[in-house]
Amino acid sequence: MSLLHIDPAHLRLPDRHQEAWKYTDLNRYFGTRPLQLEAAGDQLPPDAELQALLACSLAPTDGYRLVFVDGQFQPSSSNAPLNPQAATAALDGSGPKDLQDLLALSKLRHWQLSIETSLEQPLYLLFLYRKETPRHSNTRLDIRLAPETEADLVEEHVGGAAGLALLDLNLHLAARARLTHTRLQHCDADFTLLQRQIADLQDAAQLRQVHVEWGARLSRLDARIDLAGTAARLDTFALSGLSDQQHVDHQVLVRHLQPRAISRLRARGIVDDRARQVFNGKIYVERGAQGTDSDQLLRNLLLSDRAEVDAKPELEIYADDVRCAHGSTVGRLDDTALFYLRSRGIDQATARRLLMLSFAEWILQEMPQESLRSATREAFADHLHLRLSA
Amino acid sequence: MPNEPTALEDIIGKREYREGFVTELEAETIAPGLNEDVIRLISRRKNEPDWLLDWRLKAFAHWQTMREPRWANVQYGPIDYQAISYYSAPKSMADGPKSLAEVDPKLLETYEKLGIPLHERAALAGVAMDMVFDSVSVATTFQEKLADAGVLFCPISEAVHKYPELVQQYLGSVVPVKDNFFAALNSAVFTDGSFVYIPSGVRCPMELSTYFRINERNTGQFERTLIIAEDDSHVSYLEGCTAPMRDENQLHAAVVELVALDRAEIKYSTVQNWYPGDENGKGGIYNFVTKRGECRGVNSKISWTQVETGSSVTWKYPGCVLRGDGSIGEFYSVALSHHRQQADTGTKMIHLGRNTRSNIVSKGISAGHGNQTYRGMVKISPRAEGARNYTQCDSLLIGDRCGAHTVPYLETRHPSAQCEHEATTSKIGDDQLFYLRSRGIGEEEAVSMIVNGFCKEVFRELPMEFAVEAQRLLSVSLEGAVG
Amino acid sequence: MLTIQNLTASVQDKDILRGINLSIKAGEVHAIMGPNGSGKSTLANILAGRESYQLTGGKVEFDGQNLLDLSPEERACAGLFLGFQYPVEIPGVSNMTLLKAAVNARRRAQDLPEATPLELLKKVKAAAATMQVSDAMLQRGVNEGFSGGEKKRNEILQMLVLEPRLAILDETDSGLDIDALKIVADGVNALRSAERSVVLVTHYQRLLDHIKPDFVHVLAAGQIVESGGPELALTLEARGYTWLTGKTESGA
Repeated sequence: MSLLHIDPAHLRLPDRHQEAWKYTDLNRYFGTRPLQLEAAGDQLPPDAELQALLACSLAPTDGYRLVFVDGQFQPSSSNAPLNPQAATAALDGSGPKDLQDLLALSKLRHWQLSIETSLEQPLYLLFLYRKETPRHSNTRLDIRLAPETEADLVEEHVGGAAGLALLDLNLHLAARARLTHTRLQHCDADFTLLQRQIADLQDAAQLRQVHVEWGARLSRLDARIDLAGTAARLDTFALSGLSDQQHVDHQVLVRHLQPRAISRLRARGIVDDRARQVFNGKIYVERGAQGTDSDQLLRNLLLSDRAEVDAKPELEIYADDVRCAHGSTVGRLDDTALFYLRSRGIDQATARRLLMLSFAEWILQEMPQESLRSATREAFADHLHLRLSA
Repeated sequence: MPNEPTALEDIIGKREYREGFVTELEAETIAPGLNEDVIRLISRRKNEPDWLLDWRLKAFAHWQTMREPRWANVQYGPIDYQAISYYSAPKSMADGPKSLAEVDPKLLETYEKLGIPLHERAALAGVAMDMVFDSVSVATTFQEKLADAGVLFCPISEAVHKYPELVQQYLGSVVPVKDNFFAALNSAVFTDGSFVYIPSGVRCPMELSTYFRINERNTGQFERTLIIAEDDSHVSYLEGCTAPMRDENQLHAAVVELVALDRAEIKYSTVQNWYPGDENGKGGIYNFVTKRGECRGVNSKISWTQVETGSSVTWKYPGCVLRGDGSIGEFYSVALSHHRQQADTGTKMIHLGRNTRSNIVSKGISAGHGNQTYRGMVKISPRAEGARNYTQCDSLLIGDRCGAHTVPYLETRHPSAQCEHEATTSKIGDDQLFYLRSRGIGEEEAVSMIVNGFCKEVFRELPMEFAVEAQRLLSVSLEGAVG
Repeated sequence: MLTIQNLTASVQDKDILRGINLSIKAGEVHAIMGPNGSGKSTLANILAGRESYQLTGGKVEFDGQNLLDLSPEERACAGLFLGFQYPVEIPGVSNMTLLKAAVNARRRAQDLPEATPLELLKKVKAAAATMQVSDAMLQRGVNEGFSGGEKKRNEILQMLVLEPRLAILDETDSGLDIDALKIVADGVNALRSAERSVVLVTHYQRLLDHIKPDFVHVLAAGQIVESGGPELALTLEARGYTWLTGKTESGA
């Protein structure tokens, strides 16, 4: 099998001169660490490797699962009452223009999942990436919820070693559909994940998202959520915990296209060592989208003098009867709270951990499933060395 | 019957731009076009030393390699830089600035008409003024009184001769000639502007002010202002500007540099009322300005206050480089875009020193088809331990054909930094309007009250006389915006 | 002074007022009572000129003028005052600024010279003393950060300064503790005279213990279903509104 070279010397990649990539320069990123990767294959990995990957997942073993290995759906490892269908004709396989060269490196795997009736249980979408021979993969998954259906999806990314994955995960919510979407990303420390999410919500549809990530070397999420129906509602909660040289970049565009939609976005990050957290949240209100109610709150904790936080909370508004607000803060732990805990006899290091855990808990508490929430909390705390000594 | 909701728009009919007259006088205006010869000509007119001509020519050479920035959220047709005349001065000013007694009465009359009497007897008490008319300074008042305090306040063309060491040391030290396209252009062709030097320990006894007037057709104004505040000094400086109403656009590309040394404080206020164009967007000034202050000294402070009601297109980001430990940068802004006006304005606060602080309050008002963008950057460098920033951006929309944009960049590289950004967008509440009207206050006045209330935090940063002027301008500019 | 004839109004095609008839003479105090949703606040707001209702019929005359032809500010300048149930906050516009603008608007309408700063100050100080409003509150933005009770006291303060011919007080008693209720009532009583009239819109009888009305009307489902003297309020207090609801045409 031939190796693919991912090297800016041969590829056209977005760089910091493009506004959307101002803080995540892929030319520079791949310039310092050109990759040579195999393209993802069709065959199942050896069972031992698969089991090892599954063991990394935080998802309960008895839930409904859809397993993807390097973007290839694996029915034999899946047990859900519905399966994604391979899409023959790509609806729009072109992908983001700025990543065109990267996307062209490997074959697009395109899946469609239609949820026609409400799901009784959570559905786990496990995206496993092979560690032993890291791959390059390019996947697209379109999920459609029929009118008035309800579903609880958990998307989890695991493994990958020094591989690279491109993923388009699109959500279509028909009128009055309700989706809870949890996204957990804790890939290996060398992994690169470039993900795009386009969601559209029709009349009175509701999307509730909780994103938690603490893995990968570089994780980029380009999200566009269109509130395309009247009175649609979006709630997004995002948390990241970064150390070493991790780089997480979220570009979130919320478009209010019709009247009386509501969007709420809460994002928090804890950034240590030489890590970098980028967050660009933009609220766009179309002319005529009266009665829009939208706000965004970004909070970041910076723990080291070599870490960096870049935030850009944008508003673009063309309707006058709207309530739009955003806030963004960067800072350190609250000295008063720190002092309070210490005055109760808690040592400084423990007090700091406690406060960071409480900072993270603010987002974690939004995860709907109790058991998954506690597993996530532990893994997140371990990653940042926040576990309170027993 | 008031059952029909009246459009806020209807009330804001046609704006009266009372500064839009033309002064008819004989001017010496050089032919349009830009090349080295033109720059040499400007330099010769000003009798400049060689070093300054070289500086201009270097800037010009670099400018020719640059591209006009197009990243701002404004749309305008191409500017033909060869169609502009880069020097125009009243003939009566051929021999440079004179004493007030010798100034052409037509010029004095112009300023009377603009509400700025130049004779010191009639002048605003406590305000010394420099009048820049097209490419030259016409007069500077109270120079002697200021000199008694050791304060130097004169046209920059005069400072080049009288205080060459100061000018050479500081010119381009805050805004380098290569900083950006318009700054490079200004460096090549600047004609006049004000120079201020406050010596150590001096609190400037008067407000200093420059009034910029564009009069001639087909000219641009490229002024350059330099303010130096030595250790422990203090100065408050104001600028105002107006231009005749014309159907074609005129270019204004200024550069302002401020330097604050140890514990010095500079307060710089602008009431910008360039001709905004008519309600269909015809005519008006393109206002592309680079303003930057450097807090070089410890515990120094630079404060920008701007009220931007004029110009058809505004591109302007007065900023502070907070180099000295404990230095403070402030930015207070009211910007209004009505009819087809477009403004992309904000600030840059670059925190380099320890315990530096910055405070940003921006109030944007959009009406008619106006488009308004706040663009701001707060950067906390890895050395800026204990840096703090607070940013507040509020937008007010009047009508449903305008737009408001908020684009703040927050780059933080120190764990002890504390940055806070808040932004809101709202409209004038029907409830607020009805409440005021039920108290007997007419709709237009009610709107003006609410808008002025929205801007209050900024207006209170302006010196008294200018705060009143700013409120008046805002009301006039909003005429017909509301219903 | 005020005559309302068969006034009907709706909001989003829902009828709120279904034929109001009411006549108020100079010097009279009328109380309009009724259950929630009966149309009391709608009536008060329509009289002040609020534009969010469709007027579908009827006539209102105020001192011989067709009130419905006037804009809200013209009504205020003609001497009508609405004390709001929920006074709005107007950031950055101080109470003093508002009072000055309002007093002078009325004076201009009457072809009087503007009030001198001293006149205005005297008047405001006197009203502030009656209403126990501090100087600090006067300098703050209109109702900005005021408590519910402070907002209501501020409404009556404005009324005292503006000296309307007809004051319509919309649930001015709601959310007041007993001390504040007394202050508000004192304020209203201070304004009573043979030339001035007051309409008290209220849900409860307790305000009427402090401000004695000449007439009491009960509004239910958009119509006045009962009128009487002060004793009617006491009956309502004892028996509730339900015994009257049968009197509306539709029985709603």
